[in-house]
Amino acid sequence: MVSLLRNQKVRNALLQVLYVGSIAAMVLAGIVIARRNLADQGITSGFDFLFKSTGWDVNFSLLPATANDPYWWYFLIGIINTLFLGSVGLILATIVGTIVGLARTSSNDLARLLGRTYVDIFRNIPLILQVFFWYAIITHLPTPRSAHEAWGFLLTSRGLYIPFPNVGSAAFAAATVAVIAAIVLPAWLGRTSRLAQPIGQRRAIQLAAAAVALACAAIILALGRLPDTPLLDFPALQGLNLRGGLRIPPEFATLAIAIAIYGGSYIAEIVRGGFKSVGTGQVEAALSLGLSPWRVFTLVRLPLALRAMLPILANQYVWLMKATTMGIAVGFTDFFMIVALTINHSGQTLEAIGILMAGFLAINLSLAAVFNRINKAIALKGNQLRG
Amino acid sequence: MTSTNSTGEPALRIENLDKYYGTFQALRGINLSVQRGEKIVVCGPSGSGKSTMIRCINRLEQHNGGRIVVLGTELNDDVGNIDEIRREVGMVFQHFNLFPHMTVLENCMISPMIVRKQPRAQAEATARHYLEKVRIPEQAMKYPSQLSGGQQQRVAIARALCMQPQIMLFDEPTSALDPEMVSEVLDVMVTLASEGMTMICVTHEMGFARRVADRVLFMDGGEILEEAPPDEFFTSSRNERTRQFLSQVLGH
Amino acid sequence: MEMVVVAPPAPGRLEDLRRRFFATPLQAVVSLACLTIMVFLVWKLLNWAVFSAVFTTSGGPEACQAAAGACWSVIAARWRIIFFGLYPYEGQWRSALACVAVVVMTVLSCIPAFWTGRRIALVWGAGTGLFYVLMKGGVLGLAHVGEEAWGGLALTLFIFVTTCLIGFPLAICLALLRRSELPWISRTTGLIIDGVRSLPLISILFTFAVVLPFALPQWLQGDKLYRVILGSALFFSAYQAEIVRGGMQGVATGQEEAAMALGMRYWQRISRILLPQAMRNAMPATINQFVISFKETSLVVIVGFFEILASGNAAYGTGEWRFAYVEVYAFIAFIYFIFVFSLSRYGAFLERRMSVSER
Repeated sequence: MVSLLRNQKVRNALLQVLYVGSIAAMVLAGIVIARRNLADQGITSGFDFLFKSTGWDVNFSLLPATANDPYWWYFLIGIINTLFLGSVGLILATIVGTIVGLARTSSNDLARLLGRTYVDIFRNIPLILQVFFWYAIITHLPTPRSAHEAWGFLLTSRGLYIPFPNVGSAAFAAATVAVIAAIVLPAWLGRTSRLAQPIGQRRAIQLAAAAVALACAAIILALGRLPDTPLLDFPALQGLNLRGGLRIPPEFATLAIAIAIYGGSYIAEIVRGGFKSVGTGQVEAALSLGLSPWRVFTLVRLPLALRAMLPILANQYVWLMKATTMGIAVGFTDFFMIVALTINHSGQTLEAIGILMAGFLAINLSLAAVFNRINKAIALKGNQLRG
Repeated sequence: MTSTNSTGEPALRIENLDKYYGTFQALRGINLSVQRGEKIVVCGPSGSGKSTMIRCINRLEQHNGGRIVVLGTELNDDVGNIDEIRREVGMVFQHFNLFPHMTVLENCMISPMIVRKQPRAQAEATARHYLEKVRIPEQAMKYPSQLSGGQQQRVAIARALCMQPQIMLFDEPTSALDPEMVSEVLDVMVTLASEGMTMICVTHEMGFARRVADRVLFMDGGEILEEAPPDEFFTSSRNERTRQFLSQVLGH
Repeated sequence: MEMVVVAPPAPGRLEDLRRRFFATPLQAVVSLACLTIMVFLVWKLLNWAVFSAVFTTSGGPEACQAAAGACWSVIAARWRIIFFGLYPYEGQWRSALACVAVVVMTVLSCIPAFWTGRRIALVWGAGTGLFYVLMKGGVLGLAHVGEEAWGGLALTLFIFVTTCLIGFPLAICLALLRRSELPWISRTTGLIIDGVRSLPLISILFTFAVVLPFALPQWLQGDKLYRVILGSALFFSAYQAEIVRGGMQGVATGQEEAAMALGMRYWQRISRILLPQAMRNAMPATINQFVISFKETSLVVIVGFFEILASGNAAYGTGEWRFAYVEVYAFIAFIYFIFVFSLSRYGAFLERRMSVSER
């Protein structure tokens, strides 16, 4: 027995069984206890509840939602809300981050100082504090009757009202897809090896693709336009309330602003790091070839910096997606808040937590997959920049 | 498992040793017996398995077939045996592997203190003794990064000696050194050999082999192809590949 | 041959300015735009925060609200609730002293002389112990104050410190388990680490605060505060474990082989050879992780704790100071900023110093 314990192979096997076994035992014990506790409260475990109607409302949804809808529909709404808020925040943060990051790398001392101040302030204050701050600001805006107005935009405590095209929602969604295609298609055509044409002639094809996609968007919008209405619907005061335009609820606006500003400060640092990683040798080589500073930027510095940034940027985007869970602080029904509400109302604790984990795992994995593909597509072949 | 240090038992006995990396066979049926006080030099082209062989002796690599008996203790899955053998077998690496976060003296003291449980004063005395022996007593309080390659390798030898091992393994100790530093390390090794240490050296320093070795082994393709005293090995080797290798090493 | 070096004429002040900011038309536009933005922002900010601001409580909230600038009287009136939450009034000096203890402990652990496992453990053990005794009382003639009455800055610091204190050793264990040669141990640990990392912190805090009591026997449930701290420590350790593992990968494999060849056992190799080097490699990333996790302690407000952010909400949320939310948030942001900014500057300094010493 003693000599058996001194045997390396026996020891290794024993250690592994003990470790995995004790973890599995803990998880199992937790589940068993939880099921018993829940059963005592009259809650039967299982996923049947997904098909029962919820009986409560969500305050934000891109899909039609009523209190009679079943739980699975609400989970779907939550995921879409999370993805939507995440994407909007991600795009805004990228824009903010790029501008600030470029300022941070500029040769102008004043621009650098400005960029640095921005990053130092917003990076060092917790996101949730910023969320509370912006929420307080927005909910303390004037009532619709005395709203701030500028260029057809209305700022009120009930939300931000912006002019919106007078089209059906399906047509609007289709047009959005077309606009996205107008951006993605040329990029894809530029990378793909399916086109035999030399680079010079590809540009024409790319432009044509973008033009076709944009034209499609315009046609969809024109066809989907509601009859007998102006092209753009401006919000306006009617009685005590505002009519027309698109209302962005305070909760959504708060989160989008906070994520854009906070995330922007992180992305700015990533952008700066990316440009810093481009060796001066590459830039000098390009300048010595007689390229103008602008072309050096677009042809050499930007593409190289992008490649260096992308892996870190991917992590940051995953983080931003997870930051949408701050929604619960201001009452935005993102995926997590739907899960929390489900636990409150239905008591299906274990199942809801399982769905929560699965949901975020799916979001993370799919984002990772997308970025891996992009990464692989633009990776430099060979290792000409290492060494 | 208790070491029977009878005079008949060799310091090291290797029988039919096999070693695989996945499906690649790195060692094929190695047989070797080393008497106490014997000095063995192992040479051969890179990838011939010579490093793998000596790394099997203190179980930095795990062998897949055959037996290794070190100082009468069989090297098997028994954890106690492995610990015992590692205490009695010192090793010097190609890249020194000194601990960069400790001074030279601490490098030499740590193992006697925590493995052999020696009191600090005794460990320090031993360490200073061996640093004297490798001729760098004045560097004791420096950190490895402040020393030259040759000095670092001599510290590594002192560090191994501080455990007062019965067998010393050298894995290409001079390959990573600048040419002008090779001799200072070899001198230390020659001194060590003259004091009767059992040594197994993987090296391409043929001058060293000629001066010190009792036997020279030539390995290729995971096998020992030739095993002879140095005079015989360098003048009248029977094997074609040995002659080819020697002409490449000695050629210039 | 003699080289004649002609020094360029020393540029005048104006010439220097012109070269730096107005070299090209584009540069000039950028400079002017930046200058305008800066002057505008600084003027607005100063005007609001200093020139038109009210600092005294003498006028009361009404006079304050009427002022054009910031109403700092809210801080003067409500600073106690922001810093100490609901802690008993006569014991608030204890809470203040406890915060000082934590700050001293943090500063001490930034000094390289304390960077050995034993000293760091001693400093953190003593600091946290002192904090706990001061806050909780019940001994040395201090009145007992239960955790439910803790709040404000002290609670924020307590959650942060205990998170690190539990999370750090846990992170080292996880990192070691993940790099284990035994496949099932490393796989299971990898699953745990990646699983925790893929979840948002809020969902973990929520699970530990609200859901875990269902899954634990009565005697194991403990106080909600400690469950939340455990959750936050788990989250911290999953991230920190990957940082430590990165540090370990930076240690040459020869180091462990040398230690093995010298007869050291597993724990001796880990504690004497691997960890000291790995932690040094991982230092900048570790400080960064501390910074992030300090900011993230503020999330406990969501599971209902009265830490500094919640007490800030309370400070303006009730009664006559309802209008002064910007001032309160600015003040809390400033407190966070001091902690986070100094810690991250220190991290950057350390990173620079290490990259220099490597050369």
